Amino acid sequence: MTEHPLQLFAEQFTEADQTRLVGFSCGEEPWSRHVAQWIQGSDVLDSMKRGTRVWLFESTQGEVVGFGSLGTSRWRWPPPNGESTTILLIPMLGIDVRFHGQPSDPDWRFSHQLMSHLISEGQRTSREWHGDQGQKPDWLVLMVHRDNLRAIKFYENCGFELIPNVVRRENHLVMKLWVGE
Amino acid sequence: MTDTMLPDDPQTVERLSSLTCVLEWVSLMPMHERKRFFGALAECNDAVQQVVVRILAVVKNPTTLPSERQRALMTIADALFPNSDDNGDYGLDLPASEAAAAAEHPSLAREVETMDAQEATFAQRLRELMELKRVSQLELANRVGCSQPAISQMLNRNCRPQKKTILKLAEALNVHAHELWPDIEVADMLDAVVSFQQPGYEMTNEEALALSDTSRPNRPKIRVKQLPSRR
Repeated sequence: MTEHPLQLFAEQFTEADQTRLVGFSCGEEPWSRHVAQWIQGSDVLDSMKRGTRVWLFESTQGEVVGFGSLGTSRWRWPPPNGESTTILLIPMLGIDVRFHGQPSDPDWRFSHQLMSHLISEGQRTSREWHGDQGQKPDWLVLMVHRDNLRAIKFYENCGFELIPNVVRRENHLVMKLWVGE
Repeated sequence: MTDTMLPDDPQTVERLSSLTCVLEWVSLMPMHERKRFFGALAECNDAVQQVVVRILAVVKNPTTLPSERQRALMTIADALFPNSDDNGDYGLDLPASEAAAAAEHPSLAREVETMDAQEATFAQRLRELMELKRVSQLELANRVGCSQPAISQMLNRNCRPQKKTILKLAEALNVHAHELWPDIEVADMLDAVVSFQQPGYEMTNEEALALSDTSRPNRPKIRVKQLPSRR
């Protein structure tokens, strides 16, 4: 079957892929620079050691358009030593500046394709969760810098909602999306 | 191993537990560095060994952030190698240690490169700001609460400042920290991501409430589809 020319491909990321990411940039704001540093440095590898899955998103021509990640964590409440809740989370995602706002056809917008894949993987993880892995994760969460208004708008358009009155490490807001059945 | 085979003395248990951490750490070192490390540890008196054990607990703690872990490891290195070597240098040879690590991992090589560039920028900006504000090394040292040689070391790039030192220097010079170390915000954000993924994170009441409320599940507003792979 012939793929649509604007179709992205999701490839499992490995350390060897980092050589392809020299020059990868999401922009010059601090919250954009840390995205590139995360995937180009050792943070992504540390995260993968904790079970995070990472994908590179490639165009039909094989260019790296962006990357995304999906992991789980167990958060506790109430303190101290309360019950743990399994959470699905997106530690980091980013699109190279060359592909921001691309393509003009909203049905094939790269940012939507990328997020669509991460949500789909989140739903699958929730659906296929085994009881012996602990409580099934139904929420997908992500963190966003409070000044990164463009990203907040994008996540809202995808269905995420800000968790009210939550600010982590001074400047980061948390958004949630239901991926359970 | 059964419980009866384990020592009862909590201090011994703690030391053995720390030994595991030491072994994990030294396994990353080249053989000659490993021998040097064990030699230094054996030569330490009890008091220094206890300090090393206490700091290893910080290294082992899963909630410790990478930057804090790195600083803890550097403190251990300083505790074990307090005397100057043949070249008159103190502690571990950081450039040599970084070069060895970078040779093995390309991602670390890029980080070392970035860090070197930022350190050079920091030294240059610190010098410029001191000239602009007519602050001597001694005066700045007094304001920050460190020694004049420490300031001199930073200006000559013989030591890399910690984040808290950068914040103190910025306050002493009445500038924003990112004027001294432009990527200080980026480092903060990377730490935030690590803490976001940290298992055992204690939620706030608001987070717990939001994530336990299933009465109004907000679902995706975009068409959800798994992308194909070509590999």
